[in-house]
Amino acid sequence: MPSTPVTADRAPAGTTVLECRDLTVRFRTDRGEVAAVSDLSFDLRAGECLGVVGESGSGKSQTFLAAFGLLAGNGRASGSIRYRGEELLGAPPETLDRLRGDRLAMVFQDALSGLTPTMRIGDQLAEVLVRHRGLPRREAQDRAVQALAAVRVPDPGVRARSYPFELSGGQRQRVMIALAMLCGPEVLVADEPTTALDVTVQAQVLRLLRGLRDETGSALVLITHDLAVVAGLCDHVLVMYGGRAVETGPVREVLRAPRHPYTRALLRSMPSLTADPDVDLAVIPGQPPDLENLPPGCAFAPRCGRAHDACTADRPALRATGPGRASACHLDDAGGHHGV
Amino acid sequence: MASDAVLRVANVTVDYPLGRAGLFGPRRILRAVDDVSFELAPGECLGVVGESGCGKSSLGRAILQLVRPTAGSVSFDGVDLCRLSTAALKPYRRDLQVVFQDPLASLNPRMTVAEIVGEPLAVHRPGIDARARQREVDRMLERVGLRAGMGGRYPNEFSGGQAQRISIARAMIAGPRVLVCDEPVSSLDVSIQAQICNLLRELQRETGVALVFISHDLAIVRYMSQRVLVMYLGRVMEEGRRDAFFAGPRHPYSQALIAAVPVPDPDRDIAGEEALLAGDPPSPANPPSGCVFRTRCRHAVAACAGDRPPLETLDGGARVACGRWRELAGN
Amino acid sequence: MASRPGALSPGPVTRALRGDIPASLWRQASRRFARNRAAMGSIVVLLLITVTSIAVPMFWPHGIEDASWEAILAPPSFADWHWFGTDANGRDLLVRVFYGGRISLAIGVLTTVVALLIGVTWGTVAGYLGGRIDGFMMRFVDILYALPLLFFIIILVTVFGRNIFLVFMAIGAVEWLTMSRIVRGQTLSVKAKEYVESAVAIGLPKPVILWRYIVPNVLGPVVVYVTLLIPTNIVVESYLSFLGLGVQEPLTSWGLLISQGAGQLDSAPWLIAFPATFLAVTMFCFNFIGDGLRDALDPRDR
Repeated sequence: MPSTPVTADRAPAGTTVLECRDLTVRFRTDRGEVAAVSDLSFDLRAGECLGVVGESGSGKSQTFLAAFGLLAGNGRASGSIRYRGEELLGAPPETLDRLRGDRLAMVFQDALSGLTPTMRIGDQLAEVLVRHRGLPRREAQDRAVQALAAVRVPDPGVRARSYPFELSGGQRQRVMIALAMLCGPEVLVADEPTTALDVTVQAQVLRLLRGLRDETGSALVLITHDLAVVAGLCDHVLVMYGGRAVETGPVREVLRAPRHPYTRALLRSMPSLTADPDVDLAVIPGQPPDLENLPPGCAFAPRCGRAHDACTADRPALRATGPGRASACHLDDAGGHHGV
Repeated sequence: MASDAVLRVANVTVDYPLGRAGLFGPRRILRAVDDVSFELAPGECLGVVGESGCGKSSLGRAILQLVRPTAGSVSFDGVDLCRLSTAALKPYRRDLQVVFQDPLASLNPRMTVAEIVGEPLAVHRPGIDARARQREVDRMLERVGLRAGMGGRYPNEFSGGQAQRISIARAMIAGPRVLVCDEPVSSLDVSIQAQICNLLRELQRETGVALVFISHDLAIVRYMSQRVLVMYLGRVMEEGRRDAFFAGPRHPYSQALIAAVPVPDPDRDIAGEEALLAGDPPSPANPPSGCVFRTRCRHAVAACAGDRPPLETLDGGARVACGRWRELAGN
Repeated sequence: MASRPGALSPGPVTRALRGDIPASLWRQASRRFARNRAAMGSIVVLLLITVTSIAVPMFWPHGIEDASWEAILAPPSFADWHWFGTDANGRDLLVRVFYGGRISLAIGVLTTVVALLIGVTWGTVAGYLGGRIDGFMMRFVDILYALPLLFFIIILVTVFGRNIFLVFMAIGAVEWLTMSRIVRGQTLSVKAKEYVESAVAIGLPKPVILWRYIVPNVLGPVVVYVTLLIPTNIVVESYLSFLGLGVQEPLTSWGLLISQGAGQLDSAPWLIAFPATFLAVTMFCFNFIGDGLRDALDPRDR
């Protein structure tokens, strides 16, 4: 993102940078073990943008916290997550420290908690370059200002000398993105980066993320609860429910012709600027899944209008339904007999 | 506008003191709401939209007299609530109720659900006995989609969506005629938002309660409201009937807001730079001169910094506060 | 999700991942408290000390004022029922320690109750009403804070004479200051909660809002502070007695016994050892209970 890339060795576009296989994340709680993520597999390719969509309790954030070695103390991950062939689960802290903030970067919803309140913005950015890249402080400071300019913070020279509390929410999120992009990471994970922002600022930040992806060729993961946010930005989408992937595929196809009843119901339950507002929204009944009491079959079955006996008895596996597409639904076995 | 309005807000201004600038400097104030007027007919829903810091929540609190407006009047059934003492206001509390954004923060964690929902009855209908009140509470819980047997539980045993239903039950049980909803669904999961929106719509149809629906989400406001009021830095930028407003927003700010709404349509791009607003809203403590929106407006000219554009009332009751809207509409 | 604060409210799952049990807050807290062994053990020990302090002086063969000329400064022995030995007047130390326990515990609890009542009332009223009333009430607290406790008590004692109730009053009257500050801070944060606004919106009168909405929600930190205040007040009474400003003979308290024993540390170490042990064990117990309560009421702070 800085005008001259600080990093050289990058995976060529299209090769897999992050490979997740059979990831399961469990938490020990007062009332026994809870699986927040179960048997999750996906690939992330260089230059690709993957949208991970789900409600609270879907496991979407825990997946990437596990990949980054940032799980809470009572959590444990099994399976495999490889960054360019290097295993991240169970990797020694030194390995993770070397990769995090350098090759792998993460942006959170709450930008203020990610910044040190007592340090100037520019110093925080420079610090990363000094530590990960060994740049002399002077040069690092200059690059920090460039980085702020690249995320379109107005008056970057002035802003570099500001403290986090002096910035607006949108500017803080830009700073967080600048911080994440500083070393030219190959994987940028943005966890609900725009949820706390106003719509007008949200659109700015989404455009910024896309621009950075196009410029640097980084792989981008956008974790969100909002399918609409995914639509304009992502290439692929992974819809999660109750800790499992229920549908994956190219964004265009999934949004145009969703196969899983959850994806379809979610799309129908969102108010839009085009549908007739006098017609009541189709509602998904019930509550988001309670991970402590997941039903034995399909986690969505209790809320699914089309559930039958097989849905409550057996858990449907994620099966390919077309090129690059997969869905985990018993109703889909016949091969997409139901319309949109 | 309708002369039989249940709520008439006229020239309401809300100031918050900010303390002095320096030790002996002048006292500074933050004008959160600046000269806002509107009317609300029985059974109608007015959507109030704007970015954070635009004063929409302060307006809601001023309507409810949770903050007393610095100037202007809030008339309910022709009675100016701003002139009433706290004691004289009490009977009107039954008619004006509120649902807040964070459902768990709006329920007292030390009270059971039955106590929370039954409390307004105890205040406003002290005549009815405990048994009748219990029946009323059970009926209301079932009406909002909870089981009557849940009354003995505490708020933290519920999910966000269920807690918001409890808030709605508490707000609706005494039969209010105006319900202020301050971002009632924005902290809920997507699949739960539609449930709560539909519940509010049903209750509105059944009881004829008028809604002031405050939200930053234009798609939800479009679904909920018959009229839309757009606020920016405490001032009304535009007001209009829903369909006309969404079909042809007149104010550049309304246009930008609508353009920024993300749409789950892969063929529609994220709003382009030309439609987006630059930067963030300025601080309400230090608003720009003239038109407050001019610092982010693509169409701003030198004249916009001069006089504050008046809120012009057009044929059909729509209102817009932009000095150039006719000129811009012509292009 | 689980580990990130933000606009999405935590669902039941998220809260489960954080380790919260969906049940009434008090029930959750008591369950967590019951699992804290140090705290539960402390409760047992404290109960034992309380019960023996009340019961032992009732049936012990020696009274607190019974002087025995045959056993002056006798070391501890099972003969003649002088298990803890005797003092310079030949009085049985065991009965005096338990009797002193009555006074010390009573002072600790009663002064804390005084501090609690004044502090919670003052703090919630000041915090909830705010504005000028708050400013006036808290400046008053600041002024009292500036008066040294000892100075204050010496004035009280010289004006009103020595009296055990004066000691109650004096300690309680000083310790409520900190309590009111804690409560006021807590009230300010509770006051900003939307449930308080919703209470205003349904037209509840201010006293009801204070009692039903503010007080129960500020009590968490207060309960913890109370368990730490009781031992503090016992110690304050001890050093007042040590200085001769507290409890007067023939009544006694742990502090007074320690002060008397300190003079004979070389010749009769048991005179200080027994009351000091009881005082120390009691301090430990209250502190363990306080820690246990804090952990139980605020599970994230572990």
